[in-house]
Amino acid sequence: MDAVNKASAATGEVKGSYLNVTAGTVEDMYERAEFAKELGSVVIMVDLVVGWSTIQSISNWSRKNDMILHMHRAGHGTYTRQKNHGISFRVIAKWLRLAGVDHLHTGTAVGKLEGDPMTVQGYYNVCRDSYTKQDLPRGLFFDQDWADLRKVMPVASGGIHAGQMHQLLDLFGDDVILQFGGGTIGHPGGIQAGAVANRVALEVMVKARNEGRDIKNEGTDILRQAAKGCSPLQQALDTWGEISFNYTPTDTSDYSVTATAAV
Amino acid sequence: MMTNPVRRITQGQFSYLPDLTDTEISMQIQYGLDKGYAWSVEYTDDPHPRNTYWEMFGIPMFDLRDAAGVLLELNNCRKTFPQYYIRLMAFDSTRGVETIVMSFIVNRPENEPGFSLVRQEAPGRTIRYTVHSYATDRPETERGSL
Amino acid sequence: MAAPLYQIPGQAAPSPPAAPATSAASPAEVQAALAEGVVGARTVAEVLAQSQADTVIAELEHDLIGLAPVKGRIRDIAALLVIDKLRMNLGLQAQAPSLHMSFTGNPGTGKTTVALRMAQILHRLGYVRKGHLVAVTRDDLVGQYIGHTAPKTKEVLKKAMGGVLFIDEAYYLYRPENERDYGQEAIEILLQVMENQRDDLVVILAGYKDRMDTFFRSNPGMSSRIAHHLDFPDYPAGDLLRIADKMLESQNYRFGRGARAAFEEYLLRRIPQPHFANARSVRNALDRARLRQASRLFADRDRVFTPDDLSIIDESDIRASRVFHIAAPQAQT
Repeated sequence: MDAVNKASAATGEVKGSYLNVTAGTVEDMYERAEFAKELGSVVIMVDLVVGWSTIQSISNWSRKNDMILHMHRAGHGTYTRQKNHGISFRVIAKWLRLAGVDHLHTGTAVGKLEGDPMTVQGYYNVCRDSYTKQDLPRGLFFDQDWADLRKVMPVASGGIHAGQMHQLLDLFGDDVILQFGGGTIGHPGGIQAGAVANRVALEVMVKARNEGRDIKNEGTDILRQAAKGCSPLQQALDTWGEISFNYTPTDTSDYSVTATAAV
Repeated sequence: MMTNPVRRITQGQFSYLPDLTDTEISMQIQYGLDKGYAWSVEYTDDPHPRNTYWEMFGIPMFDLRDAAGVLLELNNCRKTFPQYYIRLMAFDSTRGVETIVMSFIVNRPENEPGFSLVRQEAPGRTIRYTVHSYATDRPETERGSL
Repeated sequence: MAAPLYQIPGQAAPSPPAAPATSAASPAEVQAALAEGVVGARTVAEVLAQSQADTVIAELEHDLIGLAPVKGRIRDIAALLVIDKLRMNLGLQAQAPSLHMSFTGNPGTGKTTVALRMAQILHRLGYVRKGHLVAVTRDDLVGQYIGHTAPKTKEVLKKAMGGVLFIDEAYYLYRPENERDYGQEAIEILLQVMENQRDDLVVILAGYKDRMDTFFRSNPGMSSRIAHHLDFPDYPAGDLLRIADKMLESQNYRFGRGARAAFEEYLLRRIPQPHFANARSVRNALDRARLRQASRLFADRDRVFTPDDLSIIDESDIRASRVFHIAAPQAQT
């Protein structure tokens, strides 16, 4: 917490660090959550594996204690990987919105853990919409009025880096948390340089988009231009610019037919 | 080493970029107006991270069509408070949003005093933290000048 | 050890990252270039084709009845602006022309309608960025107490930015009989913006001709900033009759047998009377005729109406007007 507060004083911004309170029993989790709060944290984190009643309990605790609840989807593969039974992540996202979590890892369409872009956008929409319209390619099978149910901030995470900023902004829009783990810590200039690179890339991209530029196609040029005035961004682009992952995605479409191992 | 060698606070959008020119500011304003946002101008001499509500310079501007109107108000504010932080904020009145959706600093004092981190020792090994604005060390009437 | 480890943009940065290529140009130039797309045009036809201003001018000719002198002046102004545009493209013209105008004429002579079209023309030609019209009167600009006027006037100006500010009965801003009248403050703010922000806004002052002349005589600063004076003449009865046809047509009504002649007679009687407001009086007269038609039909409880029954204004609906029952027009002048 010393570092969090130091960063706050240095920049004038509220900073935070997710303290993971996941534990074997809900009593242990309360204990850890209380401890996090006592330390002065503004946010705690739980993993999906703790189960639904615990998530609901911790969610209620967070509301009462004025804390943000960051929901990690660790373990979701046990529901979602199998396409011929199991539960789509879209349904899990809806349940978690009903449970009242604040942040939710909803996958990403670029990076290490990338899924089908349309399907992933479907997950994002059920987190953020006031009214979800039927949208079959995004896996949204029916209209749904969310009334005044609180929205959830989706989190894009997993192997994303500054060089993909235009794609991230284009795919997911403004209301999203972009989490650069390796994309910050792995920076050759150190963590602070990594953070600067990501922030400059994001700001320059939002600015360009608002100015009416076509970031989807001009994004790489915009980043390259920005890197001329910002060496950390240049280093980031040099390090990760060409990286692509060859994974079998878990977040695949269930609208168009997808081949799975079990079929 | 210093924690913030560039001595520049970084709040809101575009604070890691060079100060926006008036042309660039106009383009952002126009983007917001085209989305139906209402802009407002706020200023403060104490940009503490938890100072959420700065002083309003006039009331929020509804029903504007063109960025020149907001820029007019911003320039009035700059003239009145040249050595203050000034920010532009866009309010989205869409049902279910009803909040500020854009915010960026458009004026800074020449010398940004920044903040100190005050550590207060509490029982056991507990430390309580306070972020303290150097700006507030001077009486309000003496701030906003060099 | 205070030296930064790396360059954060914003602190003596060598070059701004991703600054748009246009950032060197003034906002006006950028916006003008964005709005119009007439950069580089070399012929009148090119400017007109690219801006599509001629369609608005053609609509103006077609939609508005009469007003020949006004239409002529608008064509002149449009021509001047098109030529200015060509001169600007060749570097012969450095500054945007002053476009503030004064529309004088009696009520109902089409000043607001023409101002709306003027805003469109200026927008198409790229002289205003948005082309909307904000119509105000003294009450919208002038406050009730000290310190109230400036924010009020600025509020209106901010809304009008990028378009046309239409100030109806502008002479009410100036009240010489009261030297502490707040109107003067509004005039000064207006003058400042009219002078300094010509690219951002066009101001049109409107009102009766004689009072406007007095206003300009007492406010030379305002007078000198108005580039175009357009005088709107009263409509002759023939024009008003055609306006009536058009108004009815737009509401799916029409004159029945003898009704049009009756309405012409009505106009001849009404024009010399006090408070005659040209097209506005025509509208009001037609509204009253529709009321009478409705009452007439309403009384017929069991009749099945045809579309004709419901859309025809009868001669009787016109002749029921009080204008036919008072003294002859000659006595009224």
